[in-house]
Amino acid sequence: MTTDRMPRSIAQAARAIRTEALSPVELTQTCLARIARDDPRLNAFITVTGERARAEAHAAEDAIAAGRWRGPLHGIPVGLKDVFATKGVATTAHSRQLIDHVPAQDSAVAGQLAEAGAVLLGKLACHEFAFGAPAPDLPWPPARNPWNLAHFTGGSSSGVAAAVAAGLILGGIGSDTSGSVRSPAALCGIAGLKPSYDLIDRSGLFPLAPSLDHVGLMGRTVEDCAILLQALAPRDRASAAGGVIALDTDIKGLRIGVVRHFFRDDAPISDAGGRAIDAALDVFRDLGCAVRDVLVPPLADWMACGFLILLAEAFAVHERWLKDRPERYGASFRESMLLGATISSADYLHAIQRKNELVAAMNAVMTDCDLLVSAVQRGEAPRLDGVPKWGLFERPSLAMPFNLTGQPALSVCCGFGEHGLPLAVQLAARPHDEDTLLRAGHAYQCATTWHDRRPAL
Amino acid sequence: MAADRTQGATAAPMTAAALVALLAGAGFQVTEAQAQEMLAAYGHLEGMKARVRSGSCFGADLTAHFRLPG
Repeated sequence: MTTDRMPRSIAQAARAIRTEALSPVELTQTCLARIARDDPRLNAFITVTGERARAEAHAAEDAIAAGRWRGPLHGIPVGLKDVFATKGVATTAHSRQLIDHVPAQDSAVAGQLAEAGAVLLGKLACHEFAFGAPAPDLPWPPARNPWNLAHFTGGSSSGVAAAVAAGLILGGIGSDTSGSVRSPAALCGIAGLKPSYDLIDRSGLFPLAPSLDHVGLMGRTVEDCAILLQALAPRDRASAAGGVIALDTDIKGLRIGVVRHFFRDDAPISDAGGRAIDAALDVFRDLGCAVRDVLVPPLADWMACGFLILLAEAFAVHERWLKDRPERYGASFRESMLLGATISSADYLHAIQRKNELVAAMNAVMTDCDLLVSAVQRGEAPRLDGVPKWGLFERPSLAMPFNLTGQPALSVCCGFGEHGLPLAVQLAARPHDEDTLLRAGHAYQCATTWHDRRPAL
Repeated sequence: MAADRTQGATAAPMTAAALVALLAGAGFQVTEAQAQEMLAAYGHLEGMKARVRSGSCFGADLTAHFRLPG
């Protein structure tokens, strides 16, 4: 198989593998060849598990030939953000603190992927301990955006987004505490799903802020995110329909609330980004949805509340190492975490109280809406050397509100900007209504072709 | 009781030396140069603390029944 015959999605590969038109071994070899060719420029991988991947691909091929097909991830090459523990494979969180750490057991996610028959191609780059900005003083360089290697991927699940967009893997798993799956998905032009809080087991995920941490799923299409969700969520909770997400159903009549003040007034996005979201709303209208603007509390309230909770909890996780071996952190992460020491228990409790009030306000809006629409990012990816060190402190996150509410949220490519880099729209549904969210995202992608574009590396 | 909700917000601008001392009190060593670097972010963090306190109804039940210090 040549690299030109690389499947365009997990769903397409799964159909071909099931009918034995595509060999998991050949597919894995193709991905490994792409990694060898392209990753020296992308820096998406920290560890490539080539030998293990070949063995898993052979096992998948043999099992499928013997009639033991496990499901749509069987024989599919995937990657894990390097914050998920993998038995016998280094798990570093992109930090010198864990540079030699080899876990004795798998995270829940790694175990579930193995059970589904997925082929693990490796562990992927991120921001140090899934927080902050790309930093020059870490053991591995930051991942680069495959649409333009001088540009930022977004973070913190940077390596997964870059690798999926570049076609080095077909899908991957990240973590999302304040947009760390949706933001890189947006800037790299792929689909990124943050499911409902606690829907996917986080055991074995190195925590950033446990009350906000979500496991997130990344693929080229919404359908691929749905396939990953069905493998990782408890069978009876992936869908209200008992585990089977019926993507190809009509979305006519869905009520969409547009949180326009988030991206027009509170954190204004680029003109091109605004036009792309307006065009996406037109698509939803054409699909029969009722679209209207809604108001929720200002983004700065969500940001202040979420960021204080995030930093206080992250400080608690890292307090011991900040005292005992601070020199093993990059400067940016160390200084950020030390600021967590200035957050008092009273500050934290005020933030928790405010969170409850914000969630109540969001719930009130959701009584009249099936979906919300907002932005994920302010526009195209900035240059990598132009990402501000304190950007997380300075700029409200458009993704943070749904980490506080725990609602499922999805980033989908909805156009390209003047520099040829992707733009995205964010959709969110009620807690545990992944069905509606994924149906809407899939319907949008069936009606548009933005997700079909590929970067030319 | 709005004033009560902003208690704890920094009245005077933080200095690098004061931040070094604040962190040393919590058991963390930073240089004055590092603290200087952190000041910009510290200012944003203080703004977030004030915003959360001013927006929060924390203690609202209490203030309905008691006069709190502050």
